[in-house]
Amino acid sequence: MEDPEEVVDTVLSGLRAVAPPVGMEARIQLALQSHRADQAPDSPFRFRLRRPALLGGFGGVLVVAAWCVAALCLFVLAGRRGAAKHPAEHPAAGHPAEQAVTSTPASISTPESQSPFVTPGAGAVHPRAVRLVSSRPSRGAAVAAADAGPAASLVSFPAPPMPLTEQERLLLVLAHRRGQARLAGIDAQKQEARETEQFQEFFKPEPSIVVNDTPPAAVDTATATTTTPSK
Amino acid sequence: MFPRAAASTDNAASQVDLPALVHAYAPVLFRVAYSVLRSRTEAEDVVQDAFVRVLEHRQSLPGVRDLRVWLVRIAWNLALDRRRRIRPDQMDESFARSLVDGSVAADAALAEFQQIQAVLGEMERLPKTERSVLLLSAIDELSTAEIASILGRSESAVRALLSRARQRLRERLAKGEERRWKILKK
Repeated sequence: MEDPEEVVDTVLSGLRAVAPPVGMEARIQLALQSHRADQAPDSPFRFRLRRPALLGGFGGVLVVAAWCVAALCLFVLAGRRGAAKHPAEHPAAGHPAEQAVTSTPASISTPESQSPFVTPGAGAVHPRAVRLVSSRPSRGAAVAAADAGPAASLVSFPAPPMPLTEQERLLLVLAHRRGQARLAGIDAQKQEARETEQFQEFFKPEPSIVVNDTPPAAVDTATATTTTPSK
Repeated sequence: MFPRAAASTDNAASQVDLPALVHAYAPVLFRVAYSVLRSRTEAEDVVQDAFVRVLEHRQSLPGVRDLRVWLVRIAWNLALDRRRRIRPDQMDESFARSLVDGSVAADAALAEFQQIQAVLGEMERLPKTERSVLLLSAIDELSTAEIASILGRSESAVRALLSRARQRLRERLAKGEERRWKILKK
């Protein structure tokens, strides 16, 4: 086994004797040249950045103009996105039912119309349309409410209805299949007469069953006359 | 000395002869970086980064008193900075392999390799200043005064640190050997 001191000396002498890789100097020279080329003053961009005094004249105007154009583009794009996300705020682009609802603001403000479920009084309007319109008050209405003063601010607005669940949506589909046509064809008197007739039909005694008070001796003859063999 | 003359050119910093500087100092900077990183590619990157720094601060070159110390300090700090991103197990083993005598038997070569690896591991575990002094002292081109200047210490402190580093390394290696023998005997 070698002495540890010798091993340490071996390691240190190995570090001392390390030779640089072949071509290292050439690679470094190339890297320095490319770095120097990047820093060269003939680069117009770097020239301008190094001389901010030039930006104070025409360059400054250009920068400000570019910022203004960018801000304008962002504003226009944001407006378009908002319009695409909230079509209910634009009545002309909405469903006909929505148009009908927006044309009658009194019905919107009633609590029944804000419910996602159909009430008999609001049968002509699709509940989904009512919900969409009523949950997003228009900007004009908000401004008017703000202008109305402190009395208007006391009016409480109900929370927007929760979105329908899958079951609720299925229930609505079931309940509204041909709903208006059926409602139009309903006549209360006819319905009542039909129900009475069905009741009578159900509870009507059968003609073959006879209530018998005769003694057992006579029962045999009675059954013999009443029951007819089927086979 | 030629590089110093190249660096302390009159008053125009742009006239620094960088190719001459690279030619004169690249080998020593490479050895400095390699002693820390023990990876040839990483050490070359450090040398390149050091000369890029020179290029970027060439305005201040005429004011540099000792260019070699200044360059070694740059390379040393860059190598230490890069060393923090490398785990000891990620370091290249080719250096330890290159020190093993190829003419001996395989088992003896393996034992020698393990000893060298142990020395390198113990050097990594030395206190920072002692390790720095030990590694810089391994480079022939650097005198004690220059090492002291690079590390910001006095010459006597450097000598004391070097002596302490070797002593500590010897003790630790002896302890490690004893432990190994005990394990082998069991």
